[in-house]
Amino acid sequence: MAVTLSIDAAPVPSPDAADLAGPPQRFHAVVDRHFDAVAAFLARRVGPDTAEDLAQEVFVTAFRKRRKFDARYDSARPWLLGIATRAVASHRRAERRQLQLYQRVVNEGAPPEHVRADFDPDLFAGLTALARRDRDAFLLHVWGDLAYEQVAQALDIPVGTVRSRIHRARRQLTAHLGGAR
Amino acid sequence: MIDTFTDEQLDRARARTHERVDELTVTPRPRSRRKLPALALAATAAAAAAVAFAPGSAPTRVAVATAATVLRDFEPQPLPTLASGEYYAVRVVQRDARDHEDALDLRYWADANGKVHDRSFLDGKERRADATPPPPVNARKLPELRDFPTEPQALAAKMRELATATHPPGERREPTTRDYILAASQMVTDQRGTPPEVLRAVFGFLSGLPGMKLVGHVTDPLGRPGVAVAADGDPDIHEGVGVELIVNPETGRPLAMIHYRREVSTPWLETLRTEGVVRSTDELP
Repeated sequence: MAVTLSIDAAPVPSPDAADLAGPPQRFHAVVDRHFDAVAAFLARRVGPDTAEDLAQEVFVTAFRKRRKFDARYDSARPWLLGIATRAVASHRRAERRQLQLYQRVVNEGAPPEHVRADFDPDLFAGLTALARRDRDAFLLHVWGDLAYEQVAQALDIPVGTVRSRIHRARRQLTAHLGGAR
Repeated sequence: MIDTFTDEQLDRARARTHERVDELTVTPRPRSRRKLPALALAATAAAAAAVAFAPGSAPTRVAVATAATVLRDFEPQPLPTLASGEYYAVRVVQRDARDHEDALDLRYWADANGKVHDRSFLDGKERRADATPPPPVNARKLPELRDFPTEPQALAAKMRELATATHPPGERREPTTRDYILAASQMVTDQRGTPPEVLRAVFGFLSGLPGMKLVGHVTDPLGRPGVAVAADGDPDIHEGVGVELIVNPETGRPLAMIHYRREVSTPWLETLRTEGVVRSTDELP
């Protein structure tokens, strides 16, 4: 008679969780796994020149806070994109909203060069018209390729809130684009 | 589609990130307990600092310059009295430290009656006032520093109000020294010349803040000699972006404000001010 033993093995941490909990040198593996995705996300949000600096800041922040990563999650990418999103918000509020000069740029509707080059101005206007929280959730989903649950993890909010924010963003964007796109 | 990284940019940024992680993982050296090298170091530092010698045969008194003493010692010069047909011109250029073409260039000419004529250029192209949409109705216009009080308590309250106003909505915290330098950096962007008594009062206010660093004698991005103070950005509050203020020690007037990441020696965003008397609104200071 065959006997099947049920063994509750201790959960094996994901590579990200193990690297973040391990010696500091193991953080390099996290950089290698996720840098390109985080940098690409930032480049789309703030342009490549600024993203080059911000991406470094994201990983330096992640390194300093690596003990706070919740090891129950498989991938550190949502957590990193959450840090990136806060970096974008902080970058904007600190370096654009605080400065009278940058305020003028924003207020007078002159989008940055990288956006002007070949970005659909209607879509850009629509995105900038969104509430920041809705925009963050929407862009993490669309540009960060995160599922709703991962967006919730990145922003540390309930998944239901993510759904409502993304739904609201989609509705407003559709309305802004005349319902044609 | 919008821009993204070139392969070269991506490789450079990734490599730099690895370097920064390495810098953070380096184990600090144990402190030396030997006293003599420490004393030698202190003596060297004292010699390198600004030194003032008492006159005559009185015992020599060594004064070490600090950000506070430097700020208090600035003597802002009075603004010139404009003759008929003259203008006080101010040019403020804010540009990416690595790409000077990525710039906002604001030019102001104030006549003897204080009436200001202005032009602005974005990335080298003039922006026509009628071609840009009006600012949002709830947009807040920051006050000019020239309108600030000079009485210390009133000025402190005003500076706190300005530093706090630049916080994002919902963020409730006391302003940091870096916030206050950024607020005071309005002196770099004022459309008209800031009165010397206001500059002196603001320098006095800044001299009392903790954590201000003396950068020392520097050359600003336009090659002008100046003296700089700075405050690093908190990694959590300011994402590590610090602010440096460069002042002309001869005139006591601001030359530039530099935003920097990581090190004060690596500028990221430069805001440069030039000002002076001109005879037409086509002439730059």
